[in-house]
Amino acid sequence: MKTYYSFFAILITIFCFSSLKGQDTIFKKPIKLSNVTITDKKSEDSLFKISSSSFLDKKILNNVSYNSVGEAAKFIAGLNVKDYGGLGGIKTISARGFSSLHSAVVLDGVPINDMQNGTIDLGKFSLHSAERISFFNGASFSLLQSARALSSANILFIESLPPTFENNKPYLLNIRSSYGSFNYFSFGADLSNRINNILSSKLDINLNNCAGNYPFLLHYGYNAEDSSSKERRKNADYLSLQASWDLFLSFNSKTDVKLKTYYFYSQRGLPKSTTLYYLNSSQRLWDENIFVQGVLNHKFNDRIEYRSMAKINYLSTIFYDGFALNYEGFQRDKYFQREYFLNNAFSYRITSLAFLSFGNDLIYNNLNSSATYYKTPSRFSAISYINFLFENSGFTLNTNLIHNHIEDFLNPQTLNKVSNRLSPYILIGYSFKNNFNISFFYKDIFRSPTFNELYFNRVLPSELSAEKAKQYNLHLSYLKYFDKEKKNNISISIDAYYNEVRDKIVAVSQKNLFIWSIVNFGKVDIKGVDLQTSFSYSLPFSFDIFLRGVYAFQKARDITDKTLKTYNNQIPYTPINSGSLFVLINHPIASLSYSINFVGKRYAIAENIVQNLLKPYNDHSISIEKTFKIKNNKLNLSLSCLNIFDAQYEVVKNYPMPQRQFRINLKINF
Amino acid sequence: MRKNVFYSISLIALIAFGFLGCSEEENEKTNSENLLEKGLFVLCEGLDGMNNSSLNYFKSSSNEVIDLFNEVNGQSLGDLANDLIEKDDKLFIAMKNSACINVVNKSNGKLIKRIPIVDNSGRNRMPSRMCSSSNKVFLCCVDGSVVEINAKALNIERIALAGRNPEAICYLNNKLYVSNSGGLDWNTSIGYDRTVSVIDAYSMQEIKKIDVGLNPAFIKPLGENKVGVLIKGNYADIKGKFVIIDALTDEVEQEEEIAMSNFDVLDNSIIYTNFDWTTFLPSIKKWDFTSGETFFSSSEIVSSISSPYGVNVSKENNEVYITDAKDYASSGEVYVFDLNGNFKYSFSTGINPSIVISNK
Repeated sequence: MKTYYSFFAILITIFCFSSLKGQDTIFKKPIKLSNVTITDKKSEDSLFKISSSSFLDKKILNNVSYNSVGEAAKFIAGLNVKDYGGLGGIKTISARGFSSLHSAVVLDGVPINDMQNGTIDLGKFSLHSAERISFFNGASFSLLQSARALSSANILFIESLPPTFENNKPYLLNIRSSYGSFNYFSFGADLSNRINNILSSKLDINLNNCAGNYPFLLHYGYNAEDSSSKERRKNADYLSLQASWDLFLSFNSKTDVKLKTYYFYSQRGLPKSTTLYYLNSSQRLWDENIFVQGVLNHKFNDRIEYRSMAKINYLSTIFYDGFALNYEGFQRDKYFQREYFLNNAFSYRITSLAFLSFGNDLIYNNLNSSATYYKTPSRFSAISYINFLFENSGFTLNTNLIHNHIEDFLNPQTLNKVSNRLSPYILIGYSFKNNFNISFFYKDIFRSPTFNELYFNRVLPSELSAEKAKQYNLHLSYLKYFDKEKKNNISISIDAYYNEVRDKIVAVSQKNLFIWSIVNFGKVDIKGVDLQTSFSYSLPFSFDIFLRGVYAFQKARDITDKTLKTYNNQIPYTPINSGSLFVLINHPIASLSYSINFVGKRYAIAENIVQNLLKPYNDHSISIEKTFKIKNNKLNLSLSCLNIFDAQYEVVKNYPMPQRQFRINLKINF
Repeated sequence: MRKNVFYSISLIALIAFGFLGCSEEENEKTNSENLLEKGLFVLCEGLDGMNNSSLNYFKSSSNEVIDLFNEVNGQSLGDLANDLIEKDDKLFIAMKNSACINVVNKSNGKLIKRIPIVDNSGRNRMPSRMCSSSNKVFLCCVDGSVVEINAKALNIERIALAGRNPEAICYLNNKLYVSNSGGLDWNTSIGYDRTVSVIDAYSMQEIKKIDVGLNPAFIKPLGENKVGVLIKGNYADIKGKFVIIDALTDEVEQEEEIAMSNFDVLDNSIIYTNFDWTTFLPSIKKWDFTSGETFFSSSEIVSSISSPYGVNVSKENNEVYITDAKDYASSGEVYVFDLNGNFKYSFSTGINPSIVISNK
């Protein structure tokens, strides 16, 4: 328990240190907001060239009719978004045949963790507040970053919009509101405020509400001609409030600090899977999350840079079923998680071409749970990395080694398990004349079991070890600019990869359907190709066109046991073919965007038989947007239609997705 | 330059429309015959939340297995089929999550009636298992109720109350024996139940609760005056056992510490399955209540059964059916033995096969 307190003390010290510094140093310099981005000095273009990555910037985020990061993530190659349907349906990501637990989600530099079940609901994060979403397979090139994020198979970065100012006004207020089908209502406001040359802040609030009672077609059989009926989703209401307050301190060109205070609350009905002949559900879920995170950047000199990140995170989840057949007649499970996170990282420029960096994360997580056998499990992680980057005009070498030290406690007094593991990563790339690029990376990584996997429904703590993953990736890209301003361009990238998962953590039934145990059992081999292409061009009569096409092919075969019927079958919820297309036509009068999301056939259970099949679908959406100028204010109106062709599809078996929906969005800034 | 642009547009278009063209072929629908030939009905429970329960039919002449209920009715049984019994010319299928009983014509697999099993406020009672008397079908539900159904008119007549979370039910001498598992409180301070409710089938009133041991499950009549109960224990320190109730006095007459996962009755003995978690070996044994247990089958095939699940004896066919749930998530298998334990044949079924009933 000593580690816990000393760790907390360090954390407080860091916060005090940064705030004291704020009072001492006052420089009268024009404010420069160095937004903490993961990509550091690298431009999107140069990242695209050599890394297996994907970016969604404002061009896309502003023009899709989606509401959350979870929905927008569907446009990233090779990324599967598991969506339980509707506004309140949980949305999680998984990539390239790995489980979602191999993906790190990073908000403004700091990873978001959930030690209980490991998955992050990306439906929580509003798209309006995001400036950019980027996704990296393997690793990003950032020298200074969280070791926890780096020790994942892939990373999704969400970067918040920094405070923006127009016409030298010290503040800017944006108000937005949307109305749509099924009583969808959303309201948002953000206020950017420049207090002085050092300090600026941004307050951002998003409120979402939806009845969620959308109609759907319920099929009773497996064949198209089998009976069906028109039903409505019940108990699918959703209400969420998200508020964040960002504080930016820029003391000089050497030091800046960003503090973020974040609050999230949601309550929702869980409509459950559509049970044939009985569609009632009385389950509800409440989520509450509050965190404070700080990022401090300091440049000691031309050679040495330092970054520290700290976070305190509280997460509470309450599950309630008012109709349960147990003795009490209801079920109420409460989970409460705490996280204390501290990162310190240094980078050192050896020569103008070579960089070395070190980083360390100290993380303490614990859980109070009414539903697990062990009520108060906790984990202390110390993760460190050493990273080397060499780069000249043609050649790139990036390699790192991560050390993970994890201590799992059954309760604050009882140590369950200590594990240590080293994970190497290497990337070698070459650019030919800056147009054509080739790179290869290898990463050996793992994921630790979650608290649920270790302790849920278990009398004896599980003997689980980590799930190992190896990645081999070949990346080819071509980037061409048609003009000097780089406005007109085309880019194409192809990634071919081979992944293997060993000791996959799976639930295996023991004795009967009621007692499941979690074991390191599965083996999966994944081969795939990701294809990305984008095209921007200015056409005559002030038309601008932007196209983005993404296609992913993945064969993820279960090779656990030759004697099983599932041998060599495609693993569940992993489409062999998927892709998306996004078209944006901009004109001073109005802009039009059209998007298509395609997901091929998948299986809901390991065995690839027709009963487990989920049919392929295409989801088309269209949006028209126009900006009006009223005096000095701008009014932006957009109309969108989601799922134009009324496709009835399921991402998760027996969780139907909404059919056609309309939305009207209004934005005003002052 | 223009050429470049044109080329790139076509490339993007090609990618876009390439995948839009993808479509899946529909699986063929096999025509079902009007009358079923000789064979076996197999109830497959499916998985929670997947709506994939099925009633399979094994045709003895062709060794073919069809998804009977689906093919004949163009709809699925529903979610989590928990029990199948035959009564006269009908099959009754209890659906735990779908809150109903599907009554099926035994001669052709057609749905005759779907009886909703909900309480007064429309909530699922969660049908568990059934038994029948001369003209009634009785269903015990997880909510504690025992529902009396007229086997001819197919309507609900009366409702009796048993204990917490009944698991199984049997009928003997105008009495109903209901095992109360209390399973939904397994992790609370209340814990599992340990009683069998005895209900008078005339009055539909509980007349007695017998303490049988922690977490009673399967219950079946043993001959004319005895009832056998499989006690599961808590899967940890409290071991399972087999308890015999004297149906004349309704008291526990005998209990034996035998680990078993399921059983069925053959004359004056039971045939039961078990899976040993120390040796990882399945076994099928026979026990006559007096001397020690013997292996029912010495066939090598037994060791290939990965998860023995259901045990059904057919006196009509002189066969014993052992179902294999495999990994409880993929297609199961039914192994057929003669009454002396000689392996005859096996066939593949839907997910989690549990009950096998012979036809003709």
